[in-house]
Amino acid sequence: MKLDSIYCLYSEGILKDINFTFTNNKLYYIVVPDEKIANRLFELITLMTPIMEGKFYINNLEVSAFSYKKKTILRRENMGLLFKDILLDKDLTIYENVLLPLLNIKTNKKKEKVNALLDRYKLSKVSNYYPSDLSLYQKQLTSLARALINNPQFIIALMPTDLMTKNNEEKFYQELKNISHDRGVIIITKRVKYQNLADEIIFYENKRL
Amino acid sequence: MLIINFLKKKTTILYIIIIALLLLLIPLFKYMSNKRITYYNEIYQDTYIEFLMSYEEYERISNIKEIENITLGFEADLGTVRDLRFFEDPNLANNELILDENYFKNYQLGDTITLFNYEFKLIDETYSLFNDNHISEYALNELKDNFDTLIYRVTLNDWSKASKVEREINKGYPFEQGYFIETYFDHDKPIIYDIFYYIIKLILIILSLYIIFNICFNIYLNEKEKSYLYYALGFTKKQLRLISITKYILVFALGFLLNLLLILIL
Repeated sequence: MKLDSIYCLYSEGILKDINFTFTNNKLYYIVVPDEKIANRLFELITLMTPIMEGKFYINNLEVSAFSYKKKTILRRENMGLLFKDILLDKDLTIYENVLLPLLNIKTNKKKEKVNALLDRYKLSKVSNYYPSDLSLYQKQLTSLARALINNPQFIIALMPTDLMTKNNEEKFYQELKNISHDRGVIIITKRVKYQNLADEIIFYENKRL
Repeated sequence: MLIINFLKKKTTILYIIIIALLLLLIPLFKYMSNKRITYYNEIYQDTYIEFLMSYEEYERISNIKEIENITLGFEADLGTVRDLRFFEDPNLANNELILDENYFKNYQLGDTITLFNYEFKLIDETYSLFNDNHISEYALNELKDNFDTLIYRVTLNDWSKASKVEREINKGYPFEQGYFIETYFDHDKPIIYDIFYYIIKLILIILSLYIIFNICFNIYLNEKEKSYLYYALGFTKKQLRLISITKYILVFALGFLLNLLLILIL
């Protein structure tokens, strides 16, 4: 994934001249000064906001001029998302929440894929529970399982551990490091934590990355 | 999966039940309306609206849906000081005539009476408040061309709409032509019943609209809350709209079906 001279508006100004290439086997930290910029960068990288200027490449395909629909499909196929507020559908069970991204994709063995991820994150026993029954850590693990269900090239996380205890936070970062061996993981955060885990740390300064 | 989960939610089930109960108001309104019509019709069962109008207006008048029956008549003299009123009577044969008792006394049963060269045979006498006389429909049809205006005497299937019918009759008919309308009932009599009926109806309609608006708004808020997540997870805006619309349709359709079931049970 490559960002080439991108300019993008946000509520308090413009993100300028963003140039970076993310490969799909590294863990990246993008350290930003405030939450508004974090949100905007997250939306920019996940193709949820229009780009004013510049080029955005995924698999060497320039996608910045793609329609909303095409960008949505690209996001669905190439990116798994983790949110600060976790964002699980409170009306769906844990199993159904993990299954959610697969509803749009014709693929075999959906059940097996979901169960494998639930097993991996020790969520099988609570698969029929609703998010309100789980701890924050379990909810974010559910969110991670949901992000991985499509086997995306990139996991993009927006301050994913802000609500967690320190102990759980460390475990979660370690898990993100583990999954970064065969995919890119981009964590947008305000503070650098466990910097030894990161392959690259990118700072946002003077409105530039 | 999303739709099934939506339908399994307690709030959705509650919405469906509320909609079903609200829809029960429709038969209740119908029942109240029928009671009101019955109430009016009982009060005005022997009354009618009477007016003078040309025969060209007959089709227009007969198309007013509240009009149940039209009896035509005309005014003519039989050598009497004042004009007599002759109305059609479907029970009479072509040349049969029934006179009001006031005029009958001048004749004998079986007498032949001529009106505009049409010969009638006097077969009976009658009494009415307005000294009405009766001829056959056939005879009226034969004689009607002698008159610029005929007497229309109409009865209604819904006397609660008498005022509306009067307005309909009046529509586009210039007063200068001598048109008048005479209604033999007291308009003000059932007014308390009407006020009660309309107040109840208004309250129930406002309440229903408020509840339905709230249900729709709550579903909208719930959808809005989820739409960002679903969009981020790769649902297109078209898919999201489709899911939302399906939810609205299902809530109201299932509410309607439950309502039918309740009506069958009750």
